[in-house]
Amino acid sequence: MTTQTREVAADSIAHIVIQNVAKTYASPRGDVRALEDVSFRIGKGEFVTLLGPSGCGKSSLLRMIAGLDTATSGRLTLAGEAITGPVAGLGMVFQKDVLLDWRTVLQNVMLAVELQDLRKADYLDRATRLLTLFGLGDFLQKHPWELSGGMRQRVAICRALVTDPSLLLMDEPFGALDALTRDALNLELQDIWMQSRKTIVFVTHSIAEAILLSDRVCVMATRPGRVVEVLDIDFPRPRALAVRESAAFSSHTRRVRQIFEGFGVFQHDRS
Amino acid sequence: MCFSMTGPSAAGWLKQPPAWLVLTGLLLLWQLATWVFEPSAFILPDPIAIGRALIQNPGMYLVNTYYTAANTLEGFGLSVIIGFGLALGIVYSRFLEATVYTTLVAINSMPKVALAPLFVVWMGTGQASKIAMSFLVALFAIVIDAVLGLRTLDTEIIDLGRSMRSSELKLLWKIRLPNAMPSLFAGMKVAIGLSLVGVLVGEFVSAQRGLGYVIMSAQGAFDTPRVFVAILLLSLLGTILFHTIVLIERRVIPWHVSQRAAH
Repeated sequence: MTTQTREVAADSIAHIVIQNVAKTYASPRGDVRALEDVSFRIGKGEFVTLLGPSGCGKSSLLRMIAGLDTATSGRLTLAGEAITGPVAGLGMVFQKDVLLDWRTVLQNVMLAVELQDLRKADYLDRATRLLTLFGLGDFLQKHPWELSGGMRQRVAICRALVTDPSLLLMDEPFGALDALTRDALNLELQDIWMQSRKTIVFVTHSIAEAILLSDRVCVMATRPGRVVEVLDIDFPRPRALAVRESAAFSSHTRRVRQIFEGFGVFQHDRS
Repeated sequence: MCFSMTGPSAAGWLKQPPAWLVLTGLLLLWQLATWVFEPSAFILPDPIAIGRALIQNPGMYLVNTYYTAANTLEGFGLSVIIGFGLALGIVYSRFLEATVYTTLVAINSMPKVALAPLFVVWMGTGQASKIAMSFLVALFAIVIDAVLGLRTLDTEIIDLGRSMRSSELKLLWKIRLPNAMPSLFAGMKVAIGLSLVGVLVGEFVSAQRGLGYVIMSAQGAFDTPRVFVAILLLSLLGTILFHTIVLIERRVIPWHVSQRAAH
């Protein structure tokens, strides 16, 4: 089962190909297998979520797709090229917003332009438009510490989007937000994705968030970290929050829960 | 925080009296105590006698204060420039960390003022030995805090920079340096006081000018009021230098947590 190559028929051309990827970390107690034999494809413009408990290697996998980390074995390619380092046209959002306190909201977004050696004048309009789209039009000249957590994460998303990347990688971007803000940002992200059709790889440990947002959900398990099932989610878009109350949504949720239960994710640690 | 509408009330002053009031009160107490207990002026002169000593020769005090202040600023400036340069080297080079940093830690654990007589032998009794002393005493505070500031960076920020394929130089200029500023200022606030101590020690060992020299020569002449004038001027100088750094800090990093209340 573990050696079986999992190839999901994506109806679009494969943009990212992950082939038998494994990651092993050396530790004083011996090697730790963070990720074992993961294979799947991500189509261009697809919204794919890596869903799993802590330690299932979902962040490791995302970092490898970003080119921030290397696989111990296996192959990762992006548009046919092996991923050897961060590629151009990549936007990243982390759980921490990592905004710079000495920069205003607008300057924080423009940091992406400056660090990528692009002409500021070409992107200033876009930065302002994006921020306005995310409801931050009145906050361009404010500093991060004057903003709420949800607003700060919106700025971080604008920073990732300002250079119009084709690939957006999001590592538990809404994990630190309250449930209502999280819902709002889920919908805003869906809007942005529907307008721009970027390829999005999204990491989360929220089952509902994964099903609400994704075209496909890669369900992952721990020890060793691996992909155990890939679910196709075919609700029509745009999806409203109410879709979570539908029977089809519940059956997806149940399926994921059963998988997690099968791998002991919800067991109390009584040792 | 205060209940009064305009200015601090009498009750507010009692609870938290302003600094000038505390100092004036202390001087008054001092004056009263000398009137009551009448110690010899050689042991403890009264504030009026000290004031008189200052007024008798203001030019002499001004020149010597200037001399000490100038040497302090030069020693401090050198320690900031060289200290920050060393910190950059230490942060970016394992080799420098293993050599320079280790050496600095070793030097720091010995009482650096013990070197003052040696500096006179090497550099003479003039300005150079005082600046060198001042520089050496202040250097460590700068290096330690600058290294700390340059290193303390969220791993996510580094990942963000890498994912944008930023050059290390850009990362340094746009993120690492501004990020290190609060820590560097903390180091400078400690270092400015140490610089003054360094100059003073140099002047104690051998000098023809400076407030340290004024103290030594006054002590030799049993002129205790003059010693006190010099001590007061040194405190004043130290306070002004410290608050100058605080003022610059407020201008340079108004965004930092420590500055926002004043912002």
